[in-house]
Amino acid sequence: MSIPVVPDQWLFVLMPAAAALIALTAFVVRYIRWRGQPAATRARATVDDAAGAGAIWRLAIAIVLAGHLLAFAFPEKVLLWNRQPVRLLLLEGTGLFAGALALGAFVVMVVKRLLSNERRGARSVLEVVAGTLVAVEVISGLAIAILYRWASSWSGVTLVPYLLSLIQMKPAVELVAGMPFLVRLHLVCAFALLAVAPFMERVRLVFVPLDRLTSWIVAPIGAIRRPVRSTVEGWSTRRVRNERGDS
Amino acid sequence: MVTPTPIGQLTIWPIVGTHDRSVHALRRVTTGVLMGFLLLCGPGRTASAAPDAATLFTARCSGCHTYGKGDFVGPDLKGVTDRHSRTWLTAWISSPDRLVRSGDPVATALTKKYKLLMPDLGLTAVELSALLDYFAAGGPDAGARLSDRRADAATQDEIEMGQRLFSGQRALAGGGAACSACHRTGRGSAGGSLGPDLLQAYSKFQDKALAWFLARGCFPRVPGAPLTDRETFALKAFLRQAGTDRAAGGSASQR
Repeated sequence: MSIPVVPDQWLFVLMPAAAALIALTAFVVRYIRWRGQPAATRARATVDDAAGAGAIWRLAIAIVLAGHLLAFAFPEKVLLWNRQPVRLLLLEGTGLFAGALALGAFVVMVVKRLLSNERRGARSVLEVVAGTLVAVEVISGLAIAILYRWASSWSGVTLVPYLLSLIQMKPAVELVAGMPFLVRLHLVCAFALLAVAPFMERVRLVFVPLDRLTSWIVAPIGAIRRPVRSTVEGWSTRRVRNERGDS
Repeated sequence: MVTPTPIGQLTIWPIVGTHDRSVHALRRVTTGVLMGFLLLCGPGRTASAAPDAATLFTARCSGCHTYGKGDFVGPDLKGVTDRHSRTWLTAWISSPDRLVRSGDPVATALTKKYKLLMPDLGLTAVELSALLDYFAAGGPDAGARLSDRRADAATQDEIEMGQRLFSGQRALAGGGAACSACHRTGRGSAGGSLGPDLLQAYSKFQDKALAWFLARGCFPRVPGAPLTDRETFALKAFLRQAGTDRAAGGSASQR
């Protein structure tokens, strides 16, 4: 029995489009619902395992993500950087080390959770799916770095133009169609993760700074529209609150 | 005293708890990495490629001019450096409009003949000079002669240029990634491992097929800017040399 092959058009055109649509809609809906909640409930978003493996995981994954972001935003600069072997080794080595660290921390967190007496189930099925996808992303990313070296260079002329072609709504599937299985898996899992991410509990962590940012942007507009008298009242109330140290 | 809410308190990182040490460490590390990257990228910029006249000709001139194939929208450029002085050509290509307005008889006659004023191409002085040198050296005809040349006739300089192009130490005229991003030449070489090992590429494809493949390029590096004839030849020569060296090394070790 032969395994049915999913057409490339589905994986690399339809899937990213669907993932982006789901992510955007879910994110906006969840943000609106979150804003409607009382302030005390809103601030409930916390980070599990703030120290130890959790902190290492966050640091390592932030470095890996920053590397991916740099490679996507400045592909030519990265190619320029990689022109010197020492720089290339430094960049690839940092990525590989951070990836390995992230995987190690991830494994420690999972083992700790399994050995823990505290019985805490996953918040939802999607949390489990997202966690699995993250694990696949980290493992496949590490495997790519080892088996298909200098990804920071070749991705600049393959994956980055492909992702840009998606943004420009002119998908260039030929750039990824001939890629090895691991690279395709890494991409497909990234699209799946994009779709699942807004359903995770931790998306609240993005809402807090986003809310502050929107308030900061919208505040001057509100101040212009508000009558002068109430604006002055608002200022003095805030001053009193500040001076008293009330939140 | 009123203390306005500082903008600095705006948390852009998606992590709650500004007193968390790991968050501060994370911010510092990432900011440091970003700043270091941008700073270290700076000096490399000055080492960018010199303008390649063949690419310039293809990109900026060939839309209206041919080289040796007769008049098109504008005149045939073969022998243009014999027909006009370098000073006049520089003035004409730099600003055709200004030359016509100054009443230059040749510029006026050309505009009248082709019923079109040549557009200002906005070329830099270096690009313009490279282009005129290219025409004087035989233009695309010289490139065609180069692509017909066999790799075994390459000089040491050309092989070294190929090696530098392959490793990325010298940038390709059309931009994009160097060959070593995906390929290597033998097990011990520092190239990438996404694409096939090119050590045996020359012995496998030989001169013509390899030159054709190299000129075509693996991916759309930069649309409309494939490898130049000189780059193609240099890479072909380097790949031949790499294959020959390895074969010689192998037979020596067997003995």
